[in-house]
Amino acid sequence: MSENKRVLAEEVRAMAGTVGISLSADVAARIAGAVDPTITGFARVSDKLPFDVEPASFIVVQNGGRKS
Amino acid sequence: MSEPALLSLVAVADAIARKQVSSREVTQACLDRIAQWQPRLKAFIAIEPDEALAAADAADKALAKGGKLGALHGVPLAHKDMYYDAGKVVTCGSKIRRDWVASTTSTALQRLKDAGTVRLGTLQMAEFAYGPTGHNAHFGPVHNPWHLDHITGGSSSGSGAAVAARLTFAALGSDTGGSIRMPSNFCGVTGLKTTVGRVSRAGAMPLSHSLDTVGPLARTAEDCALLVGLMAGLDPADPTCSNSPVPDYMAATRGSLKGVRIGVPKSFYVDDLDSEIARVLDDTKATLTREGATIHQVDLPDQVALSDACQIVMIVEAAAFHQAWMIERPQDYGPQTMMRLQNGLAVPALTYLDALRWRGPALEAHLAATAGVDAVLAPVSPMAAPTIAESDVGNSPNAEPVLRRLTRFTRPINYLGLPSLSLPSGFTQSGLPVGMQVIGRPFDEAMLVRIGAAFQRATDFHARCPVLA
Repeated sequence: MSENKRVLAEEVRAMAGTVGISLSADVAARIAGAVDPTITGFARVSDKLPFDVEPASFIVVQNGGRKS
Repeated sequence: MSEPALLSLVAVADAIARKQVSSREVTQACLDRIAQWQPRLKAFIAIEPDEALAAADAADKALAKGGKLGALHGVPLAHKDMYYDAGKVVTCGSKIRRDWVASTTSTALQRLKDAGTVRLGTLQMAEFAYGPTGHNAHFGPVHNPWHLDHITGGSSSGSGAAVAARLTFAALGSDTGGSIRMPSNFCGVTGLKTTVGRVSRAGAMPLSHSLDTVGPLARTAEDCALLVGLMAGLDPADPTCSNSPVPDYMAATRGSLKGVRIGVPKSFYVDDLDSEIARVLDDTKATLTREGATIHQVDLPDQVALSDACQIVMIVEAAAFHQAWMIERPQDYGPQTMMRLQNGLAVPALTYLDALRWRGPALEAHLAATAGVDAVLAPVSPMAAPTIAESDVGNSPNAEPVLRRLTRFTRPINYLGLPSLSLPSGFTQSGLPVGMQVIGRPFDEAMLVRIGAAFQRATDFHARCPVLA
């Protein structure tokens, strides 16, 4: 998600609908307002993630970072 | 022995093993204190006096017969009500599981049972471990034993209150975004958030499978060392559990601070602190220095980004676990729990996966920034425990900022999967406890209990006990 892209209430309603959860417009707006700073903030990082990094790299680093 | 309930876990286990006090006497002492405090604290969900005394009697009989007994033989304990115990109700602090009976026993709990513990009952918690304050819409708030109108912190709210008031010698908590360290901090007890993968999560109610950790709240760092030593290690029932050897944590607690290098962050963890928290941080640095440690400034990577990534992983994974109940039983959640679960519906799949993909590089950057130190010292929270009234934000529009400020200093550590020991480090002028956390390298809990035990030999904050007015 781009740093400049905002979380929109109508998109939140649509995403929730795809997993069978219906949200009122008010609730969707509340959710969008609550998560927007987190998601747009993290976009500063995710936009720059290298291509060939996968989640299991965490375990590799964790084991490598263990104190000997 | 006049007040056996006031002993540490290590001391009471030793006293029972030496027959200086019986398990029945100790268990009765805890039950007496529970009867006095429970009406004020609401720390317990279930109290089982008859079963506890029967188990204590059986422990005393086994001790009289001789033979090899466990390290916690006859020691009464109660735990956060999210550890499955076959045949027992495990509410998870919820209405949805109010009558749910577990068919298995969690590995962590079973290992403590194998060491000989006696079950006192179960402890209060935030609904489904999803809240940092100690409020619970179904069971009511747990009250802080130091000031009854203040919060305990959560989500291991009952664990913090019960250990502080000497109702149990220790208690299991869980830490996904700060849930062991927050109540340890606000209630003045010692809590150890373990490295992700150090202690099996099998049979512990999940909140966020990438972030959940099991650990103890106890009276001393030595108590935490004993408990984690018993629980840690490979478990076939939890494939994410590490196969790395379990060090002798108790031996580590006997080490001094000579030669130990402690980092203090240049920013973030020292920004916008309430003045009394800043004073305790300075006092803690001075004590550690007096005991032989050296203090070094460290320049940590962007902690706000770590916090955002933690939040993304947690809210999505929590929503995934709860999806079916969110559809079928939305009315059975408390308003704040439902509000936080709904937030997970708004995160695109690619954002969630990016938050998981970044975890390795983020940990690598942290380890590089802290390569010159053995551990990092930071406050657990920028403030002391607020009142129950001022933190009762429910699902109001200002709820998220209030909750996020409380956990500002804990969430980045969960994202990195690091161990962190919360230590009672001082008190405010109004008598509320203040804790500092010592953050370690992956799987280096031994260094944390070494630092914690040395600090507690030089201070008495952990030994102070609240008095029932």
